[in-house]
Amino acid sequence: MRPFLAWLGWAAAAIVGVIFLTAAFLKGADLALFATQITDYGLSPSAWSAPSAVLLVILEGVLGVGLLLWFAPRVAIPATAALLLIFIAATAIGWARGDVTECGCFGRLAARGPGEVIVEDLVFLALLGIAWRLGPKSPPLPRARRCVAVGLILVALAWPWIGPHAPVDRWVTGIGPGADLSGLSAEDLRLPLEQGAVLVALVGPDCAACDASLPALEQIGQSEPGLRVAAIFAGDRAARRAWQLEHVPGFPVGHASQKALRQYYRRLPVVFRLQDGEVIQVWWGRAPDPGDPRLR
Amino acid sequence: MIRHVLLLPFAVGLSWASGSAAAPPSTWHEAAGLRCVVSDSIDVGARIFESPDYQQTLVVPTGGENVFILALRARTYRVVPRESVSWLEDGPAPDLSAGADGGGFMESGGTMTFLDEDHTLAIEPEPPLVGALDLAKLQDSKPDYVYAAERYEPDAKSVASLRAVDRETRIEVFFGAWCSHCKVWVPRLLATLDAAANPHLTPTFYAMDEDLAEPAEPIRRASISDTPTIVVYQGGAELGRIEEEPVTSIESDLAMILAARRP
Repeated sequence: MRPFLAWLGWAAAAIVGVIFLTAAFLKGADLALFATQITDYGLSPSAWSAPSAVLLVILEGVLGVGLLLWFAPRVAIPATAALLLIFIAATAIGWARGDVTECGCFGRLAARGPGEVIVEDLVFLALLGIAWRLGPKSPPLPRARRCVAVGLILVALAWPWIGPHAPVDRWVTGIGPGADLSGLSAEDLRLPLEQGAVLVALVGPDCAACDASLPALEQIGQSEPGLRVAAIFAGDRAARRAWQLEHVPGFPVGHASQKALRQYYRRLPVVFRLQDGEVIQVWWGRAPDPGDPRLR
Repeated sequence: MIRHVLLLPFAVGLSWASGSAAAPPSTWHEAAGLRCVVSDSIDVGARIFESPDYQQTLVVPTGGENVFILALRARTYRVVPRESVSWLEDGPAPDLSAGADGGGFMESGGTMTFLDEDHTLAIEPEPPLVGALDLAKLQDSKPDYVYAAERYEPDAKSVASLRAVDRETRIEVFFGAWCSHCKVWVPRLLATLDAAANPHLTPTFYAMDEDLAEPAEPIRRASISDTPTIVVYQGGAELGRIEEEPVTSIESDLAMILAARRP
């Protein structure tokens, strides 16, 4: 019975560990968005948001490794519990002030309300309690597991700097071939994105890569019969019009706020090939090359 | 007809000269989100069109003898006699060889400014879509809603029920131009109201900002916290509302709200 209970304790810790590792992965992959979400909580000066985001990603990653691999559990479990209590308090305060309507716990992949977050965190605390009470009594870790733990901790420490550049856009945004983008809404765009074959580029201000994509997009619009090209500018109407007059693209340009578009990208530009609103292909960070067979 | 045939190769040549080797242009289409200001007064009747290759803008003020064609890359404009523009079923067809060069236009912050005799004309972006709108303004500002509405067929039974409403009913629709939920449900509401064609059902649309803070008074009065929210009133009293998404369908939920009111 005792080994089974020990295993149960470890399993409880491992569940929380996996959740923390997933959260660290997603938040670290889009640190800018996570920092914005911290700012939205309104609990600290906005200048602290970026370093706070880095610190939290590292903490969640390191603690997640510790819980999953039962590495230094006598430190990992109470530290994780303390972090959860801080999350619960921050969410409750932000919720009471009306500053928070959605948590940024898993980046953009799982939008949850503050009430749900608090309930989940309480469940995680309960799991940690089970882990603390029942878990194995910290025998020396096998060498292999120790090495894996150290390796993963090093990755967790580096992830805030690696993550934003890692090619994980599809997992972070949840958008890939087959995704339904019929909800993508733009003002002033007289081109229905839900009908037929459309190549739509998300562009924005101060985006050299977006500007560099324009010649390719124009060439594609001219050379691919049946494929309509459009762009959605992340910003307001005045900024979109100014950008349009600066570059004079040969295709229609609409606009949507950065806040509304942010769920679709980590970095601009992003180009979607849509068929009747469904994603067929995505090009992250650049326009497709004219002649790319995936345009057809 | 002959003029249009002769116009075609010129239009092709012009679009080639602008750097865009596009297929022969079809028609100019009405630009969205722009307005014309003549000597500091908004010309509400002015119409603004974009060329098929998006390289030129046609400005047709309400008054005056001339219209204006702005070449966006060259930052120049042409003064064209109003009668040089033919009006086809799907848009204008300006005679690009008519008129005279007007010179260069200024551009700042998305606004193009140029002179016509003693008037200054400015083509500027309209303010953000926030505030009360009537149906016509909504349709003009959100062509994607119009498109989606045209493709939705509301349930006939619910439509019949809505058609039978004989009391003055105010329907307030709170939405965001930025809101993906709204893009699904507001067009279905538009299609439903169009199908019911009941003059007793009067919609008013409120476009909200992303913080749901403006327009402040209607939002506060109706206690809006979700988008879209559709509130139904009769005799000044709220009968019911649909928040974020309907339980069954827009038309069915609306019909149920109104049916519950009937004696």
